[in-house]
Amino acid sequence: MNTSLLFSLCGVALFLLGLYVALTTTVMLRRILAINIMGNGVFMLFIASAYRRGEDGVLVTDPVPHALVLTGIVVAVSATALALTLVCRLHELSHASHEGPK
Amino acid sequence: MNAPDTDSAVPLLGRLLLAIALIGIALVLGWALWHQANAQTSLTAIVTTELPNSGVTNPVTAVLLNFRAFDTMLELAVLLLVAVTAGMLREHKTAPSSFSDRAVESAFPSPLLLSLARDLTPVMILVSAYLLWVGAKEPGGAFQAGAVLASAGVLAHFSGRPWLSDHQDVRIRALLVLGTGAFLISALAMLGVTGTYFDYPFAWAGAWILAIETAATFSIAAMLYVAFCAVMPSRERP
Amino acid sequence: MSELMTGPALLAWLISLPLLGALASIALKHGGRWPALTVVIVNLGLACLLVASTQSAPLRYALGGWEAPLGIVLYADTLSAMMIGITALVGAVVSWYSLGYFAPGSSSERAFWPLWCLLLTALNTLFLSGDAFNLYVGLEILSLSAVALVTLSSGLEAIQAALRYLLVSLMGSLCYLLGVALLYQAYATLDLALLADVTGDGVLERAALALMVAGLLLKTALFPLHFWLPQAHAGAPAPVSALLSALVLKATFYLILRLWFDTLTEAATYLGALLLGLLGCAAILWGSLQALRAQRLKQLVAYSTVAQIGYLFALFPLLNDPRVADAAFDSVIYFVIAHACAKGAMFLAAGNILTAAGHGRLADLRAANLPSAITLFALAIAGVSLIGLPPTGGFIAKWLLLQSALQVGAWWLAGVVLLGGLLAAAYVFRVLAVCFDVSPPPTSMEASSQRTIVSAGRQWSALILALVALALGFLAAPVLDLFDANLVTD
Repeated sequence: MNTSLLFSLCGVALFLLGLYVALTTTVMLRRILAINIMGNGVFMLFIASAYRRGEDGVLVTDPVPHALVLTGIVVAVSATALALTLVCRLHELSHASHEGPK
Repeated sequence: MNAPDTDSAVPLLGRLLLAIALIGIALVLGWALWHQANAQTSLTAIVTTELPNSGVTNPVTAVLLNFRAFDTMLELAVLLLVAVTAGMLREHKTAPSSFSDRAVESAFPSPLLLSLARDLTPVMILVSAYLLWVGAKEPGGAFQAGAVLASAGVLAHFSGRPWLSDHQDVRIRALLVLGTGAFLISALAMLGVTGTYFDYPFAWAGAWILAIETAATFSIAAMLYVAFCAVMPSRERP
Repeated sequence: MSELMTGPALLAWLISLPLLGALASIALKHGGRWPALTVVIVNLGLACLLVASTQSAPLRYALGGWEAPLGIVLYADTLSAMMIGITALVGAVVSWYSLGYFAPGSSSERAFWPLWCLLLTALNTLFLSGDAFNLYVGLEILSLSAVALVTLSSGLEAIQAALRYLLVSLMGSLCYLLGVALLYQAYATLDLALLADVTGDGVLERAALALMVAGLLLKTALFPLHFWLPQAHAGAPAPVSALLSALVLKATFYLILRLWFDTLTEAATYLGALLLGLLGCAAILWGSLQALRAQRLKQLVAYSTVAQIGYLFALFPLLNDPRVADAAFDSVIYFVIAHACAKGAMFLAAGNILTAAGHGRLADLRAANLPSAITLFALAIAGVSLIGLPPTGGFIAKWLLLQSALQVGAWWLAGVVLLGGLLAAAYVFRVLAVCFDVSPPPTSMEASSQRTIVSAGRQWSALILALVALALGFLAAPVLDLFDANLVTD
């Protein structure tokens, strides 16, 4: 068991925990959070793959997964923002329809 | 989905089966990873070799802004897409009758918030500029800088002095497209100059990347701020 | 300049141009449609160029001059060129239709053009990119712009459908990305061509393929993962429904095809293909039955999409069989392009009927609600292609499928396909029956039955797509020659 493997396994566990909640919950906000946790699990797996020992045993970190994760985070932030905007809009519309037209 | 306030409509048996299935997947993935635990593959060597040709000394920035600049351009397009959609949904909104408007309208900004905004905003702008500058050498960069700048905008919004009153304003539109536009125009310009899309001439690469990052910072701040404003009530509307 | 537009740089232009159009139409407060329309037309030209230039050899372009595995490589063979071509064609016709559909200057109209340009950017990226992570970013632009386009309807139901579509898409993308992460962990490369060389049939590759395909299946809406589709496709504005059904689903299907038959070939098993085939058969039957039961016109058309996606996957066991793989590939590509045209035409025609009648309840629609014979004609031709009757593109696709199924003795598959054709005939005639129903509408409808004029552009654009579906029936040999020119199937 090395550090990279530990982080990889944690990443997989996070992904699956997020998936479980996303599939079972009916609360929108919780589902969005769960999907974010799934994403973080994947990012953790990427980060773990950056952690390598070179041939001479020296620790080297691969910058490519770091860059991928940075891109992934921005994409995840954008998607979350869109989801939250839609939830707010849904909330307003369902309130408006409950209160009836003014 | 139909009942927003009760959790889990899935019956217990369903959840149990799902949990078993997921544990099964976990075991398979764990086993697969276990066998790859000693894989020594990485792109470190090739990045290190090409780093002197990239124009920056921070390898992550080199990957983001040069080797995989195409990814970063599309990433900014995603952010732009969300900002445009949020702006559109805001236009659809019937202004003051909505639920969230009334909830926040009653809270007048406290004096504490006002002085916080006054004192913190210059610091935030400085931090943002520093993050942008340092990105070429150390961790930092356009997104971090843009996020700090956007949060200064959020603070201004909360203290009752929003930076923008009309998100249809042509300056805001220009800011929104600035980041993606800088990437795209420079990529196409390079196609004309060096004959290769996104291929920065070596002597100019550093300065070029800093210019693109600066444009991206302002653009990211604007996009995040517009997305934020779209779900917040505006105080200036009658 | 002409040298820069031809050759491999063409691939970069195909992605940059729609993005440029999106930026221009966002920057312009009014008249955002003009840059978008320009882009759509130029894109059609570029797509034709691409189809022509991939005939001799596949094109390859390393962005920024950085070769894989460091950089991102764009790649186009005849399959990508066909997809780009059909996307450009359907996209151009739908753009023409949209000019008459959205009220000029409305907030929906102003948001439609940039979002459609971004969708086109994403589609072209997915067809051209040879980098697994870049494809993820492309997938996200695709889903987010598709979701945003659904919200143009702005009703409660549309927002609900859009939110569900968004969350499902995000889960699909993350499943795909987990697969990419596994592959990177083992091989430290994201380039699909390099991965194809190094991957074998280990547990890791199988798990990665399963995750990536599962995520994409969720987005492609293969039964039983289609639950989000009917609401989203039926709730969107008509031109958006046409784009989603005709193009967006095809893009994720194309990726599955690439992963399964190009990149992770050794990890792909016959058992997996058989499973996809069975799910495809189930989708054909279930989608058709639901279309028969649908209450509303657009719902019917959306369920028909569920069924038609089934045909694409029903071909998977045949694609894996070396005896008939070539014919099955021809059939797949024909299903994709014929369905894109026919379903596009059908949704556009349905949009015309909805505008003219003011509602979409099948039980209350009468011949008097039809805008004109042009729309009726479009609907009929598109319907015939969906059923798979000669002389349409749908017939050629089905004929190739049946031929190869019988050649390998897959009787069950042939049976399902024939049954699916009968069911399709039943639901298409449900729509056509409406068009010939001259009885007076129910009394409650009388008040609201004033006719809205549907512009000629909207009617002719629907008909043009339908006529393309018809022409595909006559032009099977030349179209398939374009596709077979230098395809490497192994």
